[in-house]
Amino acid sequence: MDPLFYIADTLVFAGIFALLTLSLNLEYGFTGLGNFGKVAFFMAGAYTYAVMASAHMPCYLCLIGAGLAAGLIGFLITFPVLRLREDYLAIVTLSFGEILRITIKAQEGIAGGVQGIVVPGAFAPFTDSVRLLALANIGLVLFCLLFTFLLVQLLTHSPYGRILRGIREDETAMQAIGKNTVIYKAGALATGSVIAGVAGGLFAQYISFIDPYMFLPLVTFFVWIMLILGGPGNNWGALLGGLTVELINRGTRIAKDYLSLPVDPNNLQFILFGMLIILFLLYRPQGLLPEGPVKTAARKEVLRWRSSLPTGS
Amino acid sequence: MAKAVELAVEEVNDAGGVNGRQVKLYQEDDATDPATCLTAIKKLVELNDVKLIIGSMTSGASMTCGPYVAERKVLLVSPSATSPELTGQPWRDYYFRTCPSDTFQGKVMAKIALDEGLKKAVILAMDNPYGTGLAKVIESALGGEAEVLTVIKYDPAKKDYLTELTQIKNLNPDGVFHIGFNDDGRVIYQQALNLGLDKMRWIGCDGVYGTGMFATKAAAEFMAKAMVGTRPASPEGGKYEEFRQAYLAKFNTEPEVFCDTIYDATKLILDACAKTGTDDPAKVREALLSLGRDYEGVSGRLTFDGQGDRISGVYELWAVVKKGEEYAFERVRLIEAE
Amino acid sequence: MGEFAQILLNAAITGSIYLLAGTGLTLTYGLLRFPNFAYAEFITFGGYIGYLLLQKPDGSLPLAVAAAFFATGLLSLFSHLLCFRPLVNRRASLIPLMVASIGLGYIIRYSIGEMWSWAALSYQPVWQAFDLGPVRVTALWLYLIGAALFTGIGLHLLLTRTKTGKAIRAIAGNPDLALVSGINRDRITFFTCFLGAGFAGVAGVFRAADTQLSPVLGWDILLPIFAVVILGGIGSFYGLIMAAFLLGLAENFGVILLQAVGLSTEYRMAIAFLVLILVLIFRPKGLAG
Repeated sequence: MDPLFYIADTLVFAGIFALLTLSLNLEYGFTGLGNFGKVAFFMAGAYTYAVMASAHMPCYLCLIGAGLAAGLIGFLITFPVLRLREDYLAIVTLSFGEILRITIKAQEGIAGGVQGIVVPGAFAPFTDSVRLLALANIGLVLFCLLFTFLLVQLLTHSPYGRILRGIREDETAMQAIGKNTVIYKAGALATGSVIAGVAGGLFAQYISFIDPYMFLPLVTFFVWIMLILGGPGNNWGALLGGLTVELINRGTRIAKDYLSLPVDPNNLQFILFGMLIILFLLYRPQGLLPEGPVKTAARKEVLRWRSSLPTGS
Repeated sequence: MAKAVELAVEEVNDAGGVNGRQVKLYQEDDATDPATCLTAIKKLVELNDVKLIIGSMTSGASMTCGPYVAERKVLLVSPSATSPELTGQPWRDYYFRTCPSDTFQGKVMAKIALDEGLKKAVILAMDNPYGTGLAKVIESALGGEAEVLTVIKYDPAKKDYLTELTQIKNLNPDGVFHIGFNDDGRVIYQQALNLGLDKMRWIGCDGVYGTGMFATKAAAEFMAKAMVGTRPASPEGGKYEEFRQAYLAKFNTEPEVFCDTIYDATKLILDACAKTGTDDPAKVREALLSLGRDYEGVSGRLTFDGQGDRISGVYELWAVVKKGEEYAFERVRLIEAE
Repeated sequence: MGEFAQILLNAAITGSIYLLAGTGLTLTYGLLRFPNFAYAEFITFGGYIGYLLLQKPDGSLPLAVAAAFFATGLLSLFSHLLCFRPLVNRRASLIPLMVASIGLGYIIRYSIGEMWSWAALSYQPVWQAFDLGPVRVTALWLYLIGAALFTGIGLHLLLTRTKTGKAIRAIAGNPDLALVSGINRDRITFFTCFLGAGFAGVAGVFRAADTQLSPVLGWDILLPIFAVVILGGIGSFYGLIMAAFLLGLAENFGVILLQAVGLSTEYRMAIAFLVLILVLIFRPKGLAG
């Protein structure tokens, strides 16, 4: 019996998806950009890591490469359409995800095509023990998650974050005060894509084999559910959403074995997710953890000043 | 195929089990998808503590799971992963297959075409290790004797092949080699019938064998008009007949393709356990290699080579016949391949 | 020459499917101002309704088409009532509406998967095939193209000759002015949702009859349909007609080019996406915009 591994596996996946949710949060939650191609940048990162690792580059370089490649692709693809309406961005990102998947599938030369590509694990050369490997992966994912979380919190609770939110609320107003909204939007998308790419690299080396069938639009849908459930505009919400949805997903798989339901749990899972998303959008659009105010240093000062005033003012 | 495993396990358990213990069977569905297969195997190994696994069913999934089982030192025996690309992989230590590699089937298919005097051919292959593996073997086996006009690789998930089939129509070959599975095969044959491609000779293989093909009437018609194919065959009579009777008695239906190899895989693994007195995968694999010498299985005489591949195959040439309103597969003859 | 003709026929087939499926999408997109991703599932649903009537070889195609039309129309009505209208009334912005439509799509798709299993199913009737000169044609394809023609002419008459049709154009063009002029926006929206989804359901029947039925029937062609909608100009039915057949030609001839260059036919989808991205960059309002 090794439930320990199952728990470790869940933690790693939850961590990877939490990274993806944080990245979408930055793009949609704070900046209002509808990125429906999250899986594309995830995939770009995963394949970049795979190719670099197969060329025997060290793990940290591969991760950096994965992030940068995804970020670059994210910038190139979205920059031309950033001036257009938000639904066009959504459709373009969605379409791009599919094109990327088709390209990798059809061109064997890039990374094995449909045969997929085997990815050396980051810790494989160091240890044989499966326990240690699991622990090491948890550690690596949590480290990246912590780093990313701090980064995103810093970005979003700062004047930069306030501008992003301003773009989300009323882009014309932000342009009116002289902000180059296109550059800000591009920055948000590029950063989000870098994070997604790193997540992809972590995923590839953990699962040790990737093929194009693992990167369907379904993945993007999962990330959106995680964000909407958790709370758009709140990074803690993103983490919570990621964990919750992953747990529900795992739960259904285990339920398949131990419960005999009249309905196939896999189908039921998605029907539930669909309903949850609609219900949340209708009755709790702010998610489980609503967005808080922008916690800049200036605000802290003001709050401190206010609390130091005599009562009654 | 799972039924054949159940049958084998039941027989062993009824006879007293292995080393005095009953055999417990865990089942997971790999959906013939590599990622699902890997997850399923991980679950079996990590949650259920299983060390001897029969699978993966497809070559693609085997490519995925091979490194994992080698790393975890867990035994994997596939009854149906036939891609030539699996031969020579670095993770083969813990991976066996009781089915012959498609290197044999491809040569047989090519020979059939040459025997019929086909001069110009098109190869229509599904884009996965099974399809591309067979396509390569056929192309090289045809050598200079017949011309391969083109090799078309198609996406089996797509379900609409009018463009590919129109291309074949425009190329006008004498024959078409088709490597695919049931699902895409049904659509392809239906559309091929619509396009009038039943005037050419179509040569298929084991992926499109199976009564599931007749679920689409148009596909059945097409196969009856234009198709022959190959598949790994069970030898006639002998142990296979015994197996077939037992299978019929228990499940009330004929065994499907690879039921014999999966039955053999199960029996071999359990015999190896009995021989070594343990279910330690390292010892079991040694026992498998020694048991697998001229082993009289229901799928014929089986010998493993040094890396766990089966060294010869018996294939059948099949055709589809229409009897009244019903369709059925028929064996034309058996072919031995080295 | 005969080769060209066959490919031209394929283009007509592709274009007809895109026309039928895209009509509802472009009209509701224009009316409600968001892309309804659940249209993929409307197509699929229509296919399954058709299957109920065409799972025996002697099934009637016209009956199946009619049943699919009405059933899918009803499905769309319910979806609008329960999901989209409440959201629109709460002033949901475009992206939440999109996400909701994707969620709704998953509900429908997996419900279908639950009811009919995920195995691929086939319509049983075998359509008569014959040679029209160098071109091979089946009765099914003729019905399909006929249905597309009927839809094209019918909708044209609807949009230009009837009050309802003019109301649809009015709301799409200027919603506030339309409201002020006394047009019952709710009723017109319901009508368009019903009608549009009905046509999508019909597309599903033909698509399933020509290929194979599975819960991802609609999703597989949704993105090319989006390309057609945007190429034609969102909300413009006439743009859609042009775009549908243009993309049909582009895809079918484009694949020949792909093969000539040695690329796999899987890139067929990429042709649609390429068109989409080019349109968005160079002429976002589409052909009719």
